Amino acid sequence: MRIAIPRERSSRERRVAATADSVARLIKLGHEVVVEAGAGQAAGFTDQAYRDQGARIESDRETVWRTAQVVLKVRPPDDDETGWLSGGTILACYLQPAVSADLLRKLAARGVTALALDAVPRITRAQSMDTLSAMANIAGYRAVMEAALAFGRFLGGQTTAAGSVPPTRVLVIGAGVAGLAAVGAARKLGAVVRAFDTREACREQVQSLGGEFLTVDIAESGEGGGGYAKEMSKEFIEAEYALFREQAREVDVVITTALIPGKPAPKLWLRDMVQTMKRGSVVVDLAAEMGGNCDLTVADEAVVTDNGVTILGYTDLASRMAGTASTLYANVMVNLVKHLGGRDLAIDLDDEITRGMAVTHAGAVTWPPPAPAAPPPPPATEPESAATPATERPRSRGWVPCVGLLIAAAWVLLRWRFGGPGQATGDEAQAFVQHLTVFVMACFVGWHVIWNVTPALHTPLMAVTNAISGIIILGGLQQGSQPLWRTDGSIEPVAVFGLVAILLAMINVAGGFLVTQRMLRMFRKD
Amino acid sequence: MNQVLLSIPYLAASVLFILSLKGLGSQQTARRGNWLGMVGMAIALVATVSAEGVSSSSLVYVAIVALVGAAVGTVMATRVAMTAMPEMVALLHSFVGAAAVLVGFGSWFGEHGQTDLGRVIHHTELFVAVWIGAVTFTGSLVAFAKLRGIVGGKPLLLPGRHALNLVGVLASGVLAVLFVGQTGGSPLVMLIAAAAIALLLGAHLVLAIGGADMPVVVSLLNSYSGWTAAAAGFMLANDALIDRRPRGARAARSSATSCAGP
Repeated sequence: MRIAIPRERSSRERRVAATADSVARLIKLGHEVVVEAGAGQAAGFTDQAYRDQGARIESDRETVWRTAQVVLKVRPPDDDETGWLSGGTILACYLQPAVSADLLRKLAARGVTALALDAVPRITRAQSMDTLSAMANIAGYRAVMEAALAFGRFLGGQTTAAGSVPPTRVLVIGAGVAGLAAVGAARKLGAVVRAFDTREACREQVQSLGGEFLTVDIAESGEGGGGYAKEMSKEFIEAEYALFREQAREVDVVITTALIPGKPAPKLWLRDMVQTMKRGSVVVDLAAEMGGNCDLTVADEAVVTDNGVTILGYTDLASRMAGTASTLYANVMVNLVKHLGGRDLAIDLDDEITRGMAVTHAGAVTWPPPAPAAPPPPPATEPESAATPATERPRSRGWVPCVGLLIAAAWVLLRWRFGGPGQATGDEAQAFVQHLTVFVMACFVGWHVIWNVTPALHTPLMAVTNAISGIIILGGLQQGSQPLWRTDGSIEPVAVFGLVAILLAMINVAGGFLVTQRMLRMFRKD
Repeated sequence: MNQVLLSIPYLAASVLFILSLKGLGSQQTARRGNWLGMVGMAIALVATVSAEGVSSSSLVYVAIVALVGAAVGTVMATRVAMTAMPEMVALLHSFVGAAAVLVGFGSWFGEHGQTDLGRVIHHTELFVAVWIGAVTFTGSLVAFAKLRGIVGGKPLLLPGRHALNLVGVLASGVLAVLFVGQTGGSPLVMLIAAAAIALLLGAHLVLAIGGADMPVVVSLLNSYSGWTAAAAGFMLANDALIDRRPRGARAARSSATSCAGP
C-alpha cells in the first residue's frame, strides 16, 4: 500500500512520523513510501536519507495527501489536509478525540479510518504502540533540562576550594511516566528529589529511582483507569495544598505533571505558593497544554513573576528533542502497521487495541470505544502478606465448597445404594466414615499448618512432606510381613508387592528426612 | 492386626507430623520440626511392625528390604548436589507413587471386605489409590527427567491433548464403575488397564509442561503423593496413612507465586 509521511505544519512541531530506518522497514513489509519534501528536516533526517532507503520524495503537498492510502503523522490534520483525504484511507496520528468532535465528524464524513495514537488502550499487549509513554518520558527528561537551564545553579551540590554549593531541591508533582522520568533525570544530576502522587502504587517506583515520596495523611486512593489518576475529594485536595505550601518555601524547582483524562489539568500549584518561592526558582508545567497545573502558567511561554520565579509552560518538550522523539514515534508507526496486518492493512474492530484507536471508521464516528477495564485492585496492605498477593486469598478458599460437595455426594450415594430398611451398614462402613472424618480434619490441619510458611523453606518443607508421604511404607509393612511362602510352596504375591513397596518407601523416608537435614544445616548461623 | 493397640502410637505419630510441618514453617524451628518428623515416622514403623503378626522369617525379609531402602535413601541424600535437590524430590515422589500402586495391587490379592458395602468401599479406595499412585509415578519420573535434562525442557504439545486427557479420565471412570460393580470381564484386567491409562496420563500431563515450570509441578506432585498415601490409607483402613493431606497444594501455590516473582 502507499504510505505517506507528510511534513508537520504546526509551528512548534519538529517531529516526523518516519525515520530513514523506519522507512526501510515499511518498504520491507511490502509498502511504497512517499515522504513530503523537508518532512524530517527539523528532526535531523534529510530527504536524501529517506531516498537512500527507497522512499519517494514528493514536493507537492496536495499530491502527497491525495494519493495516499495510509497517512502516518504526528499532529492532527488541518482542514486542507482533511479535505484531500479520500474514502478508505487510514490516518494515524494524535487526534485528541475527547476534545476534537468537529475534526472527527469531518474525517468520518470523508470515509477516513482515523486511528488516534493518543487513544491506544493502556494494556500490556498495546505497550509497543504506546507513544504517549514514550513522549512523556522524553518530556519528563527535557523538563529537568529546561529547569536546570533556567535555574542556573548546579543540580547536585558541590564542595569546591572556592566554597560550597548546596544541591538543588526538586519537587515533582504527579509520578506518572513523565514524573518518574523527571525524578530519574534530576536524581542523576545530583538533585534532592521529592515526588508527590495520589496513587500509592507510585511510592515504590519513586523510591526505586532515589526520590522521596510525599503523601498526605488521608487514606484515599487516586488510582483511576488506564494508568491515570482520578480526581480527589475536597478534603484530600485541601491537605494536598497544605503540603505544597510547606514545600513551596523549601524547593528550588517544581515540575508538575498532573493530568486527568478528558478534563482540564487540576490546579495544584497556586498563585500564593509561587509567591512564597525563593527568587530564581523555576516551575516547569508539563500540563500547560491542558490549561496548566500552575495558576500562572501561560502555554508555550516562559513567564517570570514579580518575585523572580520563572514559570515554563512549554507544550513542545518532546518536540524539543525531535530526533529521539521521532525515532521512537516512527518505531511505533512500524509496530502499528504490523499490528494492522503488516502487508495488507485491515481494520479489525473486534481487536481491543484497534477498537480503542479507531475514532472514525466506515463513515461513522466510533469514539468513545466501549468502557475500558476497571482500575487494578489496591496492593496488599498487611506487610506479612508480601510474599502472597492479597488478591489470591479469596480465590484459594474455593476447595472448601468442593470438599463439602464431595462429602454430600458420598452421603447421597451411600444413602441411595445401601440405606434401605433392613440393610445393616456394618462395621466396615462405620470404619470408612471414621477414616473420612480423620481425612477431612487432616486436610484442614494440613492447610493451616502450611499456610504461612517462609518462601525460603519451600524446598525443605517439600522434602519433609515427601518423607512423610513415605508413610505408605505402613501399607507395605502390612502386606510384606505376611509369610512369603504359601503352605503349598508357591510365592505369596501380596508379600512380594509389599516388600518392593517397603523398599521404595524406605528410600523415600530416609532420603527425604536426611536431605532436609542437610538443607537446614545451611540455615545455621555458625 | 489390633487396631486399638495401634491407634495410640498412630495418634502420637500424627501429632508429631503436624508439629513437624508446623516447625518447618520458619527458620528457627525448622530443624526441630525435621527431628519431630523422624521420631513420628519411627513410632509409626515400630508400632506397625510390633502389631502385625509377623513371623520371624518374614521379619527378616522386611528388615533386609527396609535396610536396603534406607541405605539407598541415605546415599542419595548425602551425595545429591544442593542444586539438584528439586529433581531428587521429584524422583522420591515417583517412589511414593510406585509404592502406592504396588500396595494397591497387593491389596487386590488380599481380603476384599466382608459385606457387600464393605467390598464396594474397599474396591473404590483401591482403585483410587492405584490410579493416583500411577499418575504420580510417571508424572514425577517425567518431572525428574526434565529437571535432570534427560528429556528436553520444551513442552510436548500433542494435537488435541486436552481431548486426550479427557478421554483418559473418562475411560478410567468407566473402568472404575465396571471394576467396583464387578460387571463384565476380569476385574484385575480392568485394574491393570486403568493403571496403564493413569501411567500414560501422568507422563503426558507433565510432558506438556515446560521445563521452567517444573518446580511448580513438583509441588503439585508432592500434593498428589499425599493424596496417594491418603487413598491407600482408606484402602488399608489405617488412620496414620490418612494423615497425609494435600498440603502440597499450598506449597504449589506459593512456589507458583515465588516463581512468578522474578
